[in-house]
Amino acid sequence: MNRLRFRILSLVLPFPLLLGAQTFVDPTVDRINQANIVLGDRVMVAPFASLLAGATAETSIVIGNGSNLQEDVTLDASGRKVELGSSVEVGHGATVKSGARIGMTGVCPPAPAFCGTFIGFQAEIGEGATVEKDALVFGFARLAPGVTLPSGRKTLPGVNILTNAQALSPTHTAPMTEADRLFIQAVVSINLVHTLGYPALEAADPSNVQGINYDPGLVTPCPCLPTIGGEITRVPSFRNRIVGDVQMTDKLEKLDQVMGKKISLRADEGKPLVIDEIDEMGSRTLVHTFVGTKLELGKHGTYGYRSIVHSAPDFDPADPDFNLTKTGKNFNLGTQAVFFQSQAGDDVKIGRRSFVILSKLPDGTVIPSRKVVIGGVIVGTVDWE
Amino acid sequence: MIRLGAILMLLCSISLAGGPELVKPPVSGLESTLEDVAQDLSGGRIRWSTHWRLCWTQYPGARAYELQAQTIEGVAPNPSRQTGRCFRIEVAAGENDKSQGFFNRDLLLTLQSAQLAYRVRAVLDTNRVSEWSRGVPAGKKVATGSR
Repeated sequence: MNRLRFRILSLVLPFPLLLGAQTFVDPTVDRINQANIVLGDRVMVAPFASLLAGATAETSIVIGNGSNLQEDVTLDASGRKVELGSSVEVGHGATVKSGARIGMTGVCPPAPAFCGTFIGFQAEIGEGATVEKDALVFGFARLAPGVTLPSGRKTLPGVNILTNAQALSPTHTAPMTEADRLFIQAVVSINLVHTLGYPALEAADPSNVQGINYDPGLVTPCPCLPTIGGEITRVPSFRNRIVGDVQMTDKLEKLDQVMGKKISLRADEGKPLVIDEIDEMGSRTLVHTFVGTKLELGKHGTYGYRSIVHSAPDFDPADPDFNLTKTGKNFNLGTQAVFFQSQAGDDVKIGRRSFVILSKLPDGTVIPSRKVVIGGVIVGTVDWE
Repeated sequence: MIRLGAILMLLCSISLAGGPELVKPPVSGLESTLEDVAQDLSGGRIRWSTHWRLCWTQYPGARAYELQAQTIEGVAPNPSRQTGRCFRIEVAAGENDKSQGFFNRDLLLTLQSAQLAYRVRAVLDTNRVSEWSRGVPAGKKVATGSR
């Protein structure tokens, strides 16, 4: 009966005029001084994010309509107010510090171009820094305190922008293009789907959005439960979020031992997400699949604190596995490292805070720490700690 | 009242299920090229941009074509429609000293091709479309077959 009910929900929910998108804050989100956290319409705050408001209006958090905060994002307004405008996308693991303003000021491109703001994986927006509308901060980039990234600019990955002059320098940033705006528009639109699905799951039963549980089934073919140690499993009380068609070899008792806290394994867009035996998974690890893609993690994987594995299509028309992100056995992902839309052979090691994108790494590859790797080639460094 | 709402929802879900008829094969012969434009500025500087142009083979009976952006996070919800067989979009740009050439052009194109692709389908007549082609990464020169 439950399954039927979810199937009906999944058929109906894409029709927003009927049920409408709603703001959704995952129950695991850490909210300090909730009275000083103001969320607009259709805002999504993903598991284990932290919204740290202070005790006064001057230290509040304000988030505009249609904005999306992904897993493990931290907004820290304990020193000064943090403001996010409309259609702001803040990627997994990003940190926004006190006094920062994102998508609040600046100018939009001429219509019909989309006017959004994007903050990438593990990026940092320093105290009092500003990211204007129509700007993009790439993964692992940092804006130092007080620096402004103006409208119409995007950073390069991994850069540490210390001055406003650097925010305009081609060594650190580049102009936004039509393609960048379309990219942000598509990402914001897709993530709005979650503001339909998760509120409906929660409305059906509040425990549906806790622990090991269903995905909403809006982007995926069905609302599914994870398979843990060969058994379909639903455990709302589990400390980590395991969502949708996640297929894990380990039994629940072992997962309890090898997994840290605040971990999110989400197959709510692409499926399946297959994870063979885990040796260790550090706290605040994220594993997530994008729409239409699959993810397979090999036996004896080790995943560092705040590391991220993310599937995405590689868009290579000649690649039969274009929608598969995969690792071999003994994969070792360092602390805060990101392995994204890539494939790794056996015994591959990624150093701490390295960012691997669109790469096929052969057996035994070792990526040093703080490197930006695209297409299997080191193209830059992460210039800050 | 609740029952009425449920019926309405089911009716809507049924209407949503009826999409256009899909016709094989997909659009073929996709080929993308890059076009650079530069403008001299004062002080020995240049402003430049690179456009990515995607073209494909004419599809028999096509009245129009639809393009859909695919991003790393999934497909954009609203395809754009056009009658021509080519599509052009700016994928990289810069302003720097002329002596530096098109500074960081290759890196910017690589980053772009990692985050955005386009796929194409033919619109045949009322309620008939071809299957989607495979996505072609924006910012990359690709030839997927004869045109």
